[in-house]
Amino acid sequence: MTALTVTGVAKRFGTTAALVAVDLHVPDGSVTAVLGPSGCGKTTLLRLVAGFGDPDGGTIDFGPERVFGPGRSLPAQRRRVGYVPQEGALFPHVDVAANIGFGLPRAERRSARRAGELLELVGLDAGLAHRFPHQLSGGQQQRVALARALAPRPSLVLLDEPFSSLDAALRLGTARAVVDALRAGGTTALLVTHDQNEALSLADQVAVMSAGRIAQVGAPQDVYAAPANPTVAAFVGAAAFVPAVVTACTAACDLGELTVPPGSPQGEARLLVRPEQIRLLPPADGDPDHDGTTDHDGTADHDRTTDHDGVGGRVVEVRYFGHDATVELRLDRSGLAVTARVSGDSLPRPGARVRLSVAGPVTAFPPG
Amino acid sequence: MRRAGSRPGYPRPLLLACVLVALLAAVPLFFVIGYTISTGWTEARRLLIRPRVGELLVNTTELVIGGMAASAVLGTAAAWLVERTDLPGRRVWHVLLAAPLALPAFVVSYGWVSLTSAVEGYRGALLIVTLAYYPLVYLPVGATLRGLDPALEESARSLGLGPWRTFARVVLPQLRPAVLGGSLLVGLHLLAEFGALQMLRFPTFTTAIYDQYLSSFNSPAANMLAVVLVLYCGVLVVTELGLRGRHRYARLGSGASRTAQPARLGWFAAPALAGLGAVVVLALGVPLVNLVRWLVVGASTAFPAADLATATATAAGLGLAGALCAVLLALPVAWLAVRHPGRIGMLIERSTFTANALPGIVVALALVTVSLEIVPAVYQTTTLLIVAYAIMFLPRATVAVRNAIAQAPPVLDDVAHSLGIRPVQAWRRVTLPLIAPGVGAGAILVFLAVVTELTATLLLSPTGTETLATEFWSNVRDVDYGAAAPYAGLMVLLSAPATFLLTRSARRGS
Repeated sequence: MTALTVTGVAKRFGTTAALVAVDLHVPDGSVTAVLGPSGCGKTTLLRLVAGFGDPDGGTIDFGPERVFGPGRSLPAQRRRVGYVPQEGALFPHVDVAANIGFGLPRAERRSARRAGELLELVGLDAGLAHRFPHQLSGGQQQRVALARALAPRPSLVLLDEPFSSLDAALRLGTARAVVDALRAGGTTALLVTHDQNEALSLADQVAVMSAGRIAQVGAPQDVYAAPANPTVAAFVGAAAFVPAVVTACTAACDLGELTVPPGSPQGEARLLVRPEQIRLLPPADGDPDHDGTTDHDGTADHDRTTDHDGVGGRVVEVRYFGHDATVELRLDRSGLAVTARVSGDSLPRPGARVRLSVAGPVTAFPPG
Repeated sequence: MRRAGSRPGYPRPLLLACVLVALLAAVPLFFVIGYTISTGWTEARRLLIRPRVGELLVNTTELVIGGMAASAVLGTAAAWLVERTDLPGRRVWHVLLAAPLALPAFVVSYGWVSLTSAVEGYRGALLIVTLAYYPLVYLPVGATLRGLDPALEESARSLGLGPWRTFARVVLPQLRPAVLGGSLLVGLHLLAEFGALQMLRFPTFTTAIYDQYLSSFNSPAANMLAVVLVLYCGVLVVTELGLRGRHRYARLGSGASRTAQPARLGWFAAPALAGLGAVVVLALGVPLVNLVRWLVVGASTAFPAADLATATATAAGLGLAGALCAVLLALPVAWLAVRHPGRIGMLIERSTFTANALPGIVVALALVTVSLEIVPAVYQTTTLLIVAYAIMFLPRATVAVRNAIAQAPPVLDDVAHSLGIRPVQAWRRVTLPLIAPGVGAGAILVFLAVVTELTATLLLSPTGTETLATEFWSNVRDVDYGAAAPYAGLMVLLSAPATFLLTRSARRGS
């Protein structure tokens, strides 16, 4: 159980720079997700931390111990990190118990106790101990891979997109079980993933990477609600960018007058609006258009832009997901397209006129 | 994103080892090129423009074209009947039709020639080589038919094509690489074939080189014929590459869940059964029955148990040494190809495959000449013979070892290292157990190929070294078929398991 500190780590492969001066601190006992699109350098970072390659520069520390720095590079087998690769990579020639015991000293390998403990920790039945990897499901293999990584009590566990090869039904349960096992042991963990939901729901801290740099590090809520730049904003979740003019803590835009946090850039700006911030207002009395049954022109809407009643728009498309739905809207005032995420029980029809408002403060970025 | 498999840079010692292996494998080719250059045009013309060479060229061409065509037709038809029709007993037929591969061609030839001298000459030679080598087409075509996605044919049918047009426009184009590849193998085997044709008194380049070599060893005439033979092999390989063309064929999924609806043979089933039955009787029945008959005859007169044991032990010893050598040479090449994929790895791997296209007699001749010129001490030693085996069977070893190493992806090394295990231990506990079965299978394949190898063994085995193949040959030459029978029988017994392995890998590697 130890913190991980990466400072100024850079790595090139031939002419391409995979990492450009990466700084990252993973606090002791936390689960940190490194989130980024494929090719952003996140797997390279993980492999350098594990010791499977040397950075071109920078330092890597495990707690007080320097494992990589000028004139020093601890080989992978002496770093005591647990490594869970994609697809598990269980040793195909030995059974589950021997896989789990692979990194243990010979004496401990013989006793079945540790393997049993670890199987229990990762939420698997002890009866699986003598199965071979090819007899396990994908999710089971992934959990055994974690048990194997945890068996020698590593100070740090590295997980390289461990759930991406699982199908959606298995992914949530396996991910939950794996993170629970990590937290139960208080293990520091670094999880590399390109899946926003996975990163936001599993980690204590999310580091968003793009083009070989860490773009932002923070708690999942902060990264989602207050992203450092539009790229991060678009990567961690669906986003609409609305042009606006900011004066103090108020932003005037096609969605009305919205609140921005103190310290936002002033003057012309782009506002980040998340789909779940857009609310479809309940129908006002006598508004015949809401249910879409009558096809009126909007002449009845005498007051389209007041904040209290929201702004007017027309439904372009509705996508129903069961638990919720997204509604694509075109604003009357400017034709701007926005998406609202609404609960799935009362949905407008395509073509219907609606009024909408924006809930909560929004983030303002300098213009494009 | 950097994946575990692709590590930049090549380790120097590995690269050096690979280059050395590639150079060794290329010795026969260097010999051919060097000899051609040093001989010069006038001398080459004097050696080559002779009626005898013309006759050999005609004979060889007739045999190669006839044998390839007959094998292609027979192999494809048999594969289609077994894989795509409702022929009764298809599993049994599959085993029986693949089985002739277990009989070395010279044993098939022996089985026939010891029955009747009517098989001497072109027609007999064509019959016998076709019977011996058609499985080289049958197996890959069968594997392709098995792996072919029936959805392709169903789509063709739904687009309005009848069964015959579907076969011609959808199935046949897919079979083209398998048919061409199999036929090329047949052609290369025919160019290299010595024993079978010598018995049938049908002279080709290979048998003529052997005769020349015996009459005046290290003779310019033999060497020049070898040059022509290698050119011939080259032409064959290039033609096949050209015919295969640049078409892309759909990758055949290994796990096609459905099998195609078998075609109904109806009244055609009886002639089909009769035809396949005839092939099996001629290719398998006649040689084996005759072999057994001669075994009985031979055993009733004299059964040289001691000689037989000595020859078996010598052959086994040579086989072990050859297998060990070939596998050791294949290891760095395969490792480079799998773990450091790139142009250099591919080039080196390819270069070790040239031996596939070089007849054993050329390899042997090259080693005789090169050893006499550079290291006379190894001439007439077992070492030279083993080197010849290693060069000739390096391609088999490389393929097997390559597949074995692919079973141990580098991510497993990473995991082992992260678990605190030192590199040597990781090799012992992870890599070795994973690659051992495949490497072992490769070694067995080479062992069995060595045991049944005739041509290079005859040329290179030191005086007094008697193997199964050489003893068999000396008895056949003396027309003592009874005395030759036990040696032939032992070789068949030994090569049967290799055939099984080869058949299996052909089935998987479709």
